[in-house]
Amino acid sequence: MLYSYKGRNIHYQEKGQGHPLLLLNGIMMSTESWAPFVPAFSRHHRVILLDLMDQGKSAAFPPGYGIQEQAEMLKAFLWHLEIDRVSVLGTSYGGALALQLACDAPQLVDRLLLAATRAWTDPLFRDMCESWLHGTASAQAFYTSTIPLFYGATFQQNQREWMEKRRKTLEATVFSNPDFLDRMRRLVRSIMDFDLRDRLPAITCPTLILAPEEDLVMMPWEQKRILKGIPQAEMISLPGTGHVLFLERPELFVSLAMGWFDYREALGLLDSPAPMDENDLVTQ
Amino acid sequence: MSTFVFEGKSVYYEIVGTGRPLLMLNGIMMSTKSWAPFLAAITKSGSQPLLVDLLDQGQSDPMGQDFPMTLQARMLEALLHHLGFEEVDIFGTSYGGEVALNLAARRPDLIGRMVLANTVARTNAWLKEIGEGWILAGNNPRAYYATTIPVIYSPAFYDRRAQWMDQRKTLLTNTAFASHDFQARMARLTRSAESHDVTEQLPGITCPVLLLSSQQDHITPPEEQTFLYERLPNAELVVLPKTGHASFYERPDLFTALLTGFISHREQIQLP
Repeated sequence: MLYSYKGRNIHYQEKGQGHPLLLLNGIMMSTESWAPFVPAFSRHHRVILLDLMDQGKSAAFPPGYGIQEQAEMLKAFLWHLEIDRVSVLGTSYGGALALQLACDAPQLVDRLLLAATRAWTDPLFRDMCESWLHGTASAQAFYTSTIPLFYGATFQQNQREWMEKRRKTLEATVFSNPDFLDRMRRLVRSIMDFDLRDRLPAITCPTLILAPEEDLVMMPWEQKRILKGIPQAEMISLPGTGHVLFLERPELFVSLAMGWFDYREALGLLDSPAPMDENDLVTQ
Repeated sequence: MSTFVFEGKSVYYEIVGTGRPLLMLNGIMMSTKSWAPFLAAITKSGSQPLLVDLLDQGQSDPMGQDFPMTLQARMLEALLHHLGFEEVDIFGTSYGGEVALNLAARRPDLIGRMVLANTVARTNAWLKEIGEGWILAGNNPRAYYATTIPVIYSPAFYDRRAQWMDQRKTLLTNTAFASHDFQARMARLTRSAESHDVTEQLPGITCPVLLLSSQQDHITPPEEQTFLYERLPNAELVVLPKTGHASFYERPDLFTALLTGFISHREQIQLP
């Protein structure tokens, strides 16, 4: 399906019925990246997937936009679909975008899952982005400046053959495609001035942060910053896992995400004046 | 509510709703009643909770003499047979997680998926001494409270829930902790865990297992779940920051999401 934003096409798909669940891609991802997960996600939800500006089958966009513009596009897109309350799952760039959307339109977002996300582009990440821009000079440079950071050290040690195969595929296809690299340059630039640190307290919905312990792009201390900033946030640390946790631990990722989005009622366990008796000991 | 007789002792259990059976195994001081706030969400996710007061817990008979934790596993095996359940999912926390491991070591074929919170593979010398401290404090309700309760929660939880904790202190020290019967049960339960060690059997427990660790667990520290993670062939591990040993009570909503998500999501994901 196509949605036209400022005269350019945004490619999207919908699957399933129920409360809307918007999936927001990482920077190099597209709607296709979610295909293995869509059957599980769509069992109880109306899943909405899209290629963001400059991603996948969506149009190329003129340079100079920031991630704020992606959030503007999402607001218009959701309005077009007549959706006024949506749960959002974002990973990496998509998680930053989810934060942007939740800050700009808190009434739109009723539940958030942020997988390997950061709330701002700190000087270290800004330089990392710059190295990716330089990396677009060649397929090999782009691979080495990005992918080794994206997978956790444990995964790379255990899956060397798979990584080598992946490297050959990526270098021979998208990473040597000038159009893809052009798009990547604009997408990378769009996050270089990103900073929501002071705005996190405006996010009022329940938020779950998935923080891989071996994430070299969105480091654990950046995940903690989000946890501190959002009043209703919970966090889970994932040992032995890197930035692309959904590829490294696909089944765990699905069970965490589905548990979070399917289970919506708060127990309010300790706030209720439930009677206590000696058989109701809740300790070890 | 129902009872089942195992080797002359009455065991109390409850089956709640319909769905895939989910055997829920209590921590050492808990009982079937402790799960009441969670049952609606769990049944809604498609599971049928099977709640059990283990031997010497809650409304099950007192044992009268010491027994090993493996007896709890044999009792559960008999209960599942009695109920005609050929495969169940299991959730266990702390002592209950350890009983779950003993059952899984004995009968891995009985188990579909398993979630183990704040659980250890074996009672090491350090944990054994902690248990001894509990037993020694058993004749003084205030001492028992001070020995067992603060270490079970995170410091932040104590700060957040100071009033609730104070009410709880008054209640516990005036009721259960002052009861000779309760203290005798607790001492036997504590001693039953002393011989717990399933390290050798872990490679044979092949079902999918989700291990929950709490960063501030001072009874079953995260290293213990890492130990399990490295030896169980099909395990996942997650860590809850700023959370103490009673993770399900400190983070009830997150806990419910984790439990129901892992138990109800059963398909394999095929990555390209």
